[in-house]
Amino acid sequence: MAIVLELLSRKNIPLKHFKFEQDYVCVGRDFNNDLRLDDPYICPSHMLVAIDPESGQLMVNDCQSTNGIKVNGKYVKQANLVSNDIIKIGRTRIRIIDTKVPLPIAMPLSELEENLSWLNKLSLAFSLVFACLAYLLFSQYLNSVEEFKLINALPSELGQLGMMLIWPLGIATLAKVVKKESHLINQINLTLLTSLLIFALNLLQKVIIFNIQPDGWFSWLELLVFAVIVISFIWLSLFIAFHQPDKRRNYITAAISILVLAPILTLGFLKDDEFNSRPKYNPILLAPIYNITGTIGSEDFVDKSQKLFDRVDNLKNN
Amino acid sequence: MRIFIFLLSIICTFSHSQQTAQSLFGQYQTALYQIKIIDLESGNKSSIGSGFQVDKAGNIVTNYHVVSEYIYYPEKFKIVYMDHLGEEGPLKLVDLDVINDLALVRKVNLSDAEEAFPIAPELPSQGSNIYSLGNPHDLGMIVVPGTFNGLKKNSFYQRIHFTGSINPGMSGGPVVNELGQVMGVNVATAGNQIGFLIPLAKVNELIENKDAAPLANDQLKVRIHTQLMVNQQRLFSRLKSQPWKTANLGQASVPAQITEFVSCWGDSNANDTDVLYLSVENRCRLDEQIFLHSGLTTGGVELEFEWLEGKDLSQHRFYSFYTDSITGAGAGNKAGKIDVTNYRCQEDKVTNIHGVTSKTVFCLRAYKDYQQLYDVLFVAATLDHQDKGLISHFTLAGVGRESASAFTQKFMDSIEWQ
Repeated sequence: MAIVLELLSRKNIPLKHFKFEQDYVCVGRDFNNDLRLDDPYICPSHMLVAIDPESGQLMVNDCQSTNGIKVNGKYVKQANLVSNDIIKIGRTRIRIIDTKVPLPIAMPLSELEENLSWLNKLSLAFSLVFACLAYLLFSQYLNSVEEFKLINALPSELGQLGMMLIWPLGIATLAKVVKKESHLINQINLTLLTSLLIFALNLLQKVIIFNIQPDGWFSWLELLVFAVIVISFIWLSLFIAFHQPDKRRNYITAAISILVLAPILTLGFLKDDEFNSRPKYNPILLAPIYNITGTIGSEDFVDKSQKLFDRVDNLKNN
Repeated sequence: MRIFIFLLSIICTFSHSQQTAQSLFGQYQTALYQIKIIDLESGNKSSIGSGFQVDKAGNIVTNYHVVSEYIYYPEKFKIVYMDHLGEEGPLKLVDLDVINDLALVRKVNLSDAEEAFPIAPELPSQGSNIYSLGNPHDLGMIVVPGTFNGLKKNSFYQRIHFTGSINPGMSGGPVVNELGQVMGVNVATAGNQIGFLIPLAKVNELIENKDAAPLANDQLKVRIHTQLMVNQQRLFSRLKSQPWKTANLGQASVPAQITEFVSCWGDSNANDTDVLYLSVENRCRLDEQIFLHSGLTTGGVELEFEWLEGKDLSQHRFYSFYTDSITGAGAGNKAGKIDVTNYRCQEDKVTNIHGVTSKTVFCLRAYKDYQQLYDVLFVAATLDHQDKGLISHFTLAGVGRESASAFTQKFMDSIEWQ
């Protein structure tokens, strides 16, 4: 039977594992040991891990070391070990592995991950950056009433693009630290695609508002669509960055989404009707070609306004 | 020698007018009072003005705005007078005229020798000397000589035009002719050496109620409400009945001087070469507003038109700018949370009888203290052109439902393409 020892970092992250096809393992700083550890707080011959020939149990013996042995945080001279016990000698941590305990079966490869492989294209990233920049510049052009100079507009729009890239850079760095693989291109492409989607929906929203002058329900619909986009974006971002169980990913997504959406909900929707000397209305005006729905006569408009009088009368009672 | 006589005559005129002023001061100072609003909690005055006695029964005329705090919060304040000797005494509110900024108060305790200002039978001729009496800055009674310049032209709320400085504390003081007869009440100052006075007729109307019992606290706002309703009806029935003069603005024809008592102004950016659009503006408004209390004015009417032409702007650029131009319209009068509700708006695309299509926004807020009285805000932008458009906008303060609807209808249908 073999003895398997795993060298741990200070935060119990596995660094290296050693498998010994023998019944005992001498551990110490001396080069004669089976497992040689370069730790100045460990004695040349520090401890012995052995399988008891009678019971077949793993046990550890202190070889009269200076600093002793801690098993699961307690000093021992001699102790029986079970799987996953952590031994601390000097400043080194070692985990005992029982090779008889079966490991969980492998996580199935996600189809989604395969389907997302198209995101990992540098050329796509370039074209998306170009598309976003073009959109930002164009909207600045549309909002200007003075002569438009590209060279003046470029710095601020590049800055905005830079802001948009903070998220993918951040999460890619995190992924690199934890998993040693950043998926930077994927993250950038995902972020830019989401931004473009939001830009497009924004334009659609203007056309809808201009044509049907919706009431309060429309802003709830806007919030709902926005929430769906934010949640899927965060989920996909996490999915690309880390290999984590679905449950854990869902929790993190929920937490971040709440952080993003809660302020929008409370500021924009739940805030009660605070007094304002300026009325709230939708000022959106679009060129005649976007005018799809019809118009009403001025008399109808005035007739309809009678209801508005009743509405403001009712506000008095609140 | 001639010069000497000339100088002498100038000195004589000067001393003559001074003499009149002095004699006036001496003659009537017993009937002239400082009116103070005292905060009951702190016992200190929160505002002051002037007032003058009109009969031996102790009735004193002053400005509504001097006593407005008491009218709004009768439990929090009291009104007292201070006479020329510094003696103080309580006053009761008998009546008010919020439209003409007048109030009638009455001394609770009468003395044996009550003095009163005589009321002039008619207005003096234009150019004659008149004297404004009052109590500015809490310094004691003063006399300001001035000239009677007739009734203010083009004014819905009639005012006497007075050349002379009326200071804030003189509000409510009388204006007398050379015989010492009251022919107006100080009300406001519109800059250097120009003041406005409330003319005789309005004072007489108020004094008619001098025998009435003092108004109960719960009747104060009822009285204001009635006066506001009658006034808005009078104003808007006049606006509705007469045809509106129109003016050309860009390619549109818009109402301009809708009545003689609105004043209109124009503006354009034609000399601004940096921008790529042309903007021509036309603004008309009723100059006077009705003061209700320091946070609430009403009775105003504003009309604004702006013709926009995107000379070198593409249609999308123009419409983006056009959107910005109708963003953030605000109320034309001052009103706070305690006075009015929030605005609510109705939006639609409307085609008027002349076939002009506009995106139209109609907003209302209601007065909390006064039933059936609203502030209206209207903004519309035409949608008939690729890179041109007309923004029409008006605000009405303190109007009834019918007046507001009739005005809105007439306004919307008065816009046409040339």
